[in-house]
Amino acid sequence: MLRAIIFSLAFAFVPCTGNALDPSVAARQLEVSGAEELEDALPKDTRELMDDVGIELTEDGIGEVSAEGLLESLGRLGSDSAGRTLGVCLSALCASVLCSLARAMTEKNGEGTRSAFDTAASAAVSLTVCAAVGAFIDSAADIISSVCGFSAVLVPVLAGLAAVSGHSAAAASYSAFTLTVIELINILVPKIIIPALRVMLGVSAVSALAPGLGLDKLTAAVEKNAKWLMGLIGVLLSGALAISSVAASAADNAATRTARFVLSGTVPIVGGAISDAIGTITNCVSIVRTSAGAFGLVAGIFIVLPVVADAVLWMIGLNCSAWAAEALGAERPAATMKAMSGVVSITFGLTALVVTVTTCSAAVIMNLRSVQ
Amino acid sequence: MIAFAGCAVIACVLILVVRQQKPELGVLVSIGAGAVMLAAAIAKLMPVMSRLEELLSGTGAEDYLPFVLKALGICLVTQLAADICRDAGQQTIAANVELAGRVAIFAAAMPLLGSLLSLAVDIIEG
Repeated sequence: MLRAIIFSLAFAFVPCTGNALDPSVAARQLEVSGAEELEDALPKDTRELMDDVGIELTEDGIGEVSAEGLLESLGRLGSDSAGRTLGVCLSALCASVLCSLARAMTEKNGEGTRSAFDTAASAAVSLTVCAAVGAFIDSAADIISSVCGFSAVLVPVLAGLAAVSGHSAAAASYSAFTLTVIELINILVPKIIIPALRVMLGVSAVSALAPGLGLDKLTAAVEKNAKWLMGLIGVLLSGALAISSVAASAADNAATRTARFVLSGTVPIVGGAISDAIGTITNCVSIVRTSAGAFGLVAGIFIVLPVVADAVLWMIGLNCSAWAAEALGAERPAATMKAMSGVVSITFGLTALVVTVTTCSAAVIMNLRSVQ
Repeated sequence: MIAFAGCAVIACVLILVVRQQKPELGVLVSIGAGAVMLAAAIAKLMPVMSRLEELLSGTGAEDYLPFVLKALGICLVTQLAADICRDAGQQTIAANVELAGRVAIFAAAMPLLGSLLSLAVDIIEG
């Protein structure tokens, strides 16, 4: 809130003469609001990716997006991830083929030998896929931490802009709620959720060695419940954020209208002019707020883009490999790959949940209408 | 493959002829034919495996492929030996060969199992 107060005082000295946005005024407002710090708060890779696409924070939007640059960047991102994923999936599939070969050779009277070879092949599959999925979980944890770090910079900027444009209650509510959620995510994700995912990955890896224990069923049940729980948390957090902001915004509108009515009615001659000037300032600030919010939304998407690309390719690769392994009759390597795909799916869901909450919070603050 | 099939047919005819004269030699012929055909199959398989290793180099498969191929070889030899013992009517020896084969496969895969368990522990510990 201190930032919002300093920001409000600073805005009093920023000239704003009409309803149309003066570029120099808007640029000054951007500078005063601290929105320019948003670009510095982005991770290096994301900044490079956004530079390639032509996205930058300007006073009236997010610059000119180059479709060619976007496609080129997406293609580069996809090919990097695809090469890595394809290699691991091929390697896992090779173990399944060998498993199938052993099955064919021991079709008659070789149940014990076949089972021993299945264990060796499943261990090979687990060893290959597990290390790669572990690295994916680490990168997802880093990305979630980056999203939280960026949101911690974005939220005060948007809250400050919202407070100056006459939404002080909504800004306070938004800022407190979102920063609490970000803090909560920052504690829960590295301390509880990522370790839990690692345990699940470890259990999935060794489940192939002891199929009789039914560990694969345990991981499948955890996956199902985790997805359901994450969906519920996402809906509840987004809903609570929207409701609290809408309620606070209504209170802000009423308070600002009353203040302007009293000002224009009680102060002779200049009261109306002051009231109009306030309206003009809030309009200017709303445009800057929309630019900063749009930049925040797009930046959030670009931060998670590498993890999304990785997750999609991993899920496709592992599920296709599992299907092929099943078709070849290698059930145990197939079960291992399905369990690993479940871990990737939960990690993807977790990243999507964090991005949904931060995106919804930015969208809510962008949608606050200027008080006329 | 035609040579392989021809060799198998000749071995079958030879075994049938030998069994009529000296039944105890039938098993020896069977073992000899089995060994020759296994050697021929392995000779055919070697270039395929080399090519597979080349294709999978850099994908992480080279870490496990030698162990899995060794286990596959043990599987193949065990099955052949157990089948020969069964043909000779030695069910108990066949079962013992299979048991020894299982143990040998686990021994060959032990570095893999050890690596997997230490990887799982590393992942869980973070």
